[in-house]
Amino acid sequence: MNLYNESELKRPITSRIAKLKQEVIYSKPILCSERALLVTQSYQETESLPNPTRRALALKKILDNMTQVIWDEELIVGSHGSNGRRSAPVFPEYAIAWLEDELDETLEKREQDTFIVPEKVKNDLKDIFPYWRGKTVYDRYRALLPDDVKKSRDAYMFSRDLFERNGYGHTVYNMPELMSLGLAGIKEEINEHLKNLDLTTSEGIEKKVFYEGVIICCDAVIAYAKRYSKTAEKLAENEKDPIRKKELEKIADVCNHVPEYPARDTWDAIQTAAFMQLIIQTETNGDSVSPGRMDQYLYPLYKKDIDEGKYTNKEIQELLDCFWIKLNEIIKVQDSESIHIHPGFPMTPNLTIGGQKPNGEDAVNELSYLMLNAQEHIQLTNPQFTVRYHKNTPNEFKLRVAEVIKLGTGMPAMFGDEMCIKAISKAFPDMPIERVRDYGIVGCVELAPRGFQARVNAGFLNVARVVDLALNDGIDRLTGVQLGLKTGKPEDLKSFNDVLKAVEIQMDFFVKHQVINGAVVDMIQRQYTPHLFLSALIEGCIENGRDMTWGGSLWGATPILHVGLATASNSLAAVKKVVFDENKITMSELKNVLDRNFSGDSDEATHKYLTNAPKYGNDDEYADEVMNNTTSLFFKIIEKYKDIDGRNYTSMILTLGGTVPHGWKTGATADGRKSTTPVSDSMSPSNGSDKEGPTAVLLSASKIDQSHILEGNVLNLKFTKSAMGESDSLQKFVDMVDTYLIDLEGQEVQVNVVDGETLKKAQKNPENYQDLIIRVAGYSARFVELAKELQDDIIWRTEHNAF
Amino acid sequence: MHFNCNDIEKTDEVKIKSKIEGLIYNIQRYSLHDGPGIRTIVFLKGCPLKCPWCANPESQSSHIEKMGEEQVGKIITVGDVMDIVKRDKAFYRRSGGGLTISGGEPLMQPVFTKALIDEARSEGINIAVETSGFQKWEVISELLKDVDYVLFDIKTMDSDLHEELMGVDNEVILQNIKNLSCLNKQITVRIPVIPGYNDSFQNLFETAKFCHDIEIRELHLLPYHQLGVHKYKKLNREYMLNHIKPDNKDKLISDAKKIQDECGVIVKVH
Repeated sequence: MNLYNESELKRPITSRIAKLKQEVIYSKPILCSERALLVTQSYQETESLPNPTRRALALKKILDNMTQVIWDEELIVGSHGSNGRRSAPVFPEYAIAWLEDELDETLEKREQDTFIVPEKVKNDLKDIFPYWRGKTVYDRYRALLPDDVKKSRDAYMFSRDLFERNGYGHTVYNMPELMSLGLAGIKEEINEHLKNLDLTTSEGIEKKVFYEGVIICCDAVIAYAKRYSKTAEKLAENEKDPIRKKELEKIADVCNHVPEYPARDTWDAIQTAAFMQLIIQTETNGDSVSPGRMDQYLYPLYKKDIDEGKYTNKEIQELLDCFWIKLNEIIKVQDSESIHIHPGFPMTPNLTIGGQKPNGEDAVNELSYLMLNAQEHIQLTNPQFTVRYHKNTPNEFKLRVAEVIKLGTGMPAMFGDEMCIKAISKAFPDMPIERVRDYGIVGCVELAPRGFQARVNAGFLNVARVVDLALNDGIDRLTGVQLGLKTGKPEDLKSFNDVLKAVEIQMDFFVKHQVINGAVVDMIQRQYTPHLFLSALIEGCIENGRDMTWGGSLWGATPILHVGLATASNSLAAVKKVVFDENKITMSELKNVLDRNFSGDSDEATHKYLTNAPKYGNDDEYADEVMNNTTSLFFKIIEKYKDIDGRNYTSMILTLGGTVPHGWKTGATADGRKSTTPVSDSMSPSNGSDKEGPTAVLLSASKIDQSHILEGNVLNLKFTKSAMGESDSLQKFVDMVDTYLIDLEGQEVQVNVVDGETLKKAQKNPENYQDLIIRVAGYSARFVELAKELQDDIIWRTEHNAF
Repeated sequence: MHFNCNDIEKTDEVKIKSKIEGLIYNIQRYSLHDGPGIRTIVFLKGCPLKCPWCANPESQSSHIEKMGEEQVGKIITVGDVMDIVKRDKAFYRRSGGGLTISGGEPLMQPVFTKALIDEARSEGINIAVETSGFQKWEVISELLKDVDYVLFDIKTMDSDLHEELMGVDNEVILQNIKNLSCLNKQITVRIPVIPGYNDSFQNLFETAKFCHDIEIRELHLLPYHQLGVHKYKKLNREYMLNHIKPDNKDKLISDAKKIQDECGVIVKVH
């Protein structure tokens, strides 16, 4: 069936959308104190109540009082902060120590993610700091953390910054259920459960507290939407323009109806999703709150609307575009340590299109195409846009996706159903295939089949540094501190096998510390900041009477993120080749050369041996075998552990911007990398080391057993615009991706289409490149909002020219 | 396992073929512009023509040489080339791509080229050859009979100009492509379009007409560029065409369209 009717489904941007987009692009991030004041007030009023109840009442206090704005001409509403289009609220209950440090000087002046901080906001926040000192999630986590783990954490062997000082988020909330039941229906279900509790048990009482808290939240959300309805009504009364007046009346009608009741049409459903994005964010202080497979769950309503002539494709397109813009208004303020890993406001609400229906049929529909238009129109950081491919995905759809990728935002990222479904089924053999096939993506790349809720992630492990510690008897090369275990002086490592054994012991040691760090964070989070409202939208939580932070979901897991894959494995390949195969240098000579960062008079030759040793990403058997061994070791060690819900730890290969800060802490490495320079990105080859072109990169990556990577990986390819130029090249690009995702069974690949020249120009004249979006690793950010060092790293990542 | 004599002979033959050596200067994977699909190009070194605009001057000499610091050219066996070519088989299968043998001039190393073609054929890999067509017909016909696709350069239809620029006239070349067109191969004719030399509408038109007459369906125009100029310096050679300015690509595209409409041959500008 030829579904793609280009004249109907390829739509231009309207003037309304162009205007809204410009307003968002040119609004500067600003800090807002409103939420911080409200939450403080609420906490002061509820000190005698159980924590879940306090969380529910805090959310109610915020939603009852937060400022509501409807921006000129917008159709989908919901404003995040009180003082601007990109206004970031503060969550003092999670952490304030960093904010006390950064409030006066740093936030306005730091190198990336800078904020306007009005004087009033500063004063408001300073007023509430004393109340929170010692009581935040971060304070409680640090108090409980064992000393030896603290040592590893503070040496930055691993980092879990995002969840030590922020909340979780990281979910595909259950839109299909919300659209069909409404919060009213969900409340009914909860009331049924409440009736049947056995209050003679502690479990029954705990469930009662949980259920009642969820109902407080649902009521607060309904009231918030109805207040928006009133806000729109008031604006409508004073509106002179009859067209806008009608729009405002429509907005009032929609907000009066959803999310309390089931969505009547596409507009209702999109507004429901917009509210959920905003409210879940406000409750959980997390990011990666993901709308999921929106082209699938909206489709029945869309089809009905179009068939009945209720809306045209043009109108639906504008609503989708409005939603796309809305996703860019929600931003967070984070501490400087966190933003090194997550620079450029990556809220990563992931929206997934394409793939298969639960019954295995191809899922591409008209909305998939309209959503590609929305991406073409908006081209901003959010949503984190994903397309799923399987062996029957129509070619014309893939060509249209390639056209959108060619625009240069790095989106959509492409996922292959073959391997993703394999990885999910391997992790959860009992999960029905219909649920597996219905997976969406959370955040950057996390696979989320229906009914699955990950316990976010346990942070980033710098494997490149783990390998270096193994070569140096556990001594940190930069500081001389004994960070790892004593696994043998360099001269005592007599064979490559000895080296691998040392790597295994060091990796085991740090993974264990990371798991302990994770357990402590997770225990504090579920004790003090359960996510009650979000739990209403996670399958299993209501049935089980258990919050999502207490493992209430049907399935779950916790990933650890692998940092520096290529740096780590190239280092080992170089040791194997140069030291043990060819005897060009000894282990002690290697130690000395690395200690002095190749600065000795005669180090140039050694540096050359090491850089010329085989490198991952060139489809080179030697390098790829070492890479596969190290990566498999990582999988094996990770999979030994369970999280605090008793669910499995699993793997994720993703660095985000962590290449830079983890690089700062890593001395010179045996692959020839200089001290403190970035470590390698995600699953991509080291900068400049892939010399055989993209097919070789893809072949190398396909040698990893990706079925172990339940929570996703990122493979970044960089193409120049000219390489994707003409239509027949575009088909070849599609064929290349198909080969990787379908024939070689890769999980994911994403592409930056931009010229190095353009990036250099943008670095020089940022004012002219405000809208330049670049793929960082797993998400896209505005290039000009990144720190110079990260910009340099991105420029350096190999450009794949096609000849 | 049961062998018969023929098998043994065949195995020996393969062994011998894979040991045949040739002189190449590059192998490039993920090539998109030299034949259908995703291809790997093997660039042979050595060319009978000396086109003054050549963008790869290091391809001309049949000897290993120095280009700046870099050594250009290496002797390699058919087996070693095939080890690289075979790696991207999955990509060829998906995209309808394969191996492109280019140069220099592949026909200058007929034994090596023939062995490469045979080896690729036995692997089921699609084969394209890019040639300027200056070789004895007996050699060409023997070599190209097992090739799927030929990219054939015609520099100019003007025989005198051809001789003046390339040092040989174009009669052999034109006769060869006529013969070749009778072998039922997919052939694309390519013109490196050099401003002031062969970029006249008339020359392009005549080439297209010629293609039409011998039933060749596609003509590609490769616009002149100076991306290879720095290589001349590194080779201690003088670049003779510094005075030339690249053509206006839009004009070339509109000429191409006109010619396509009038001659009934597909004309593409790269």
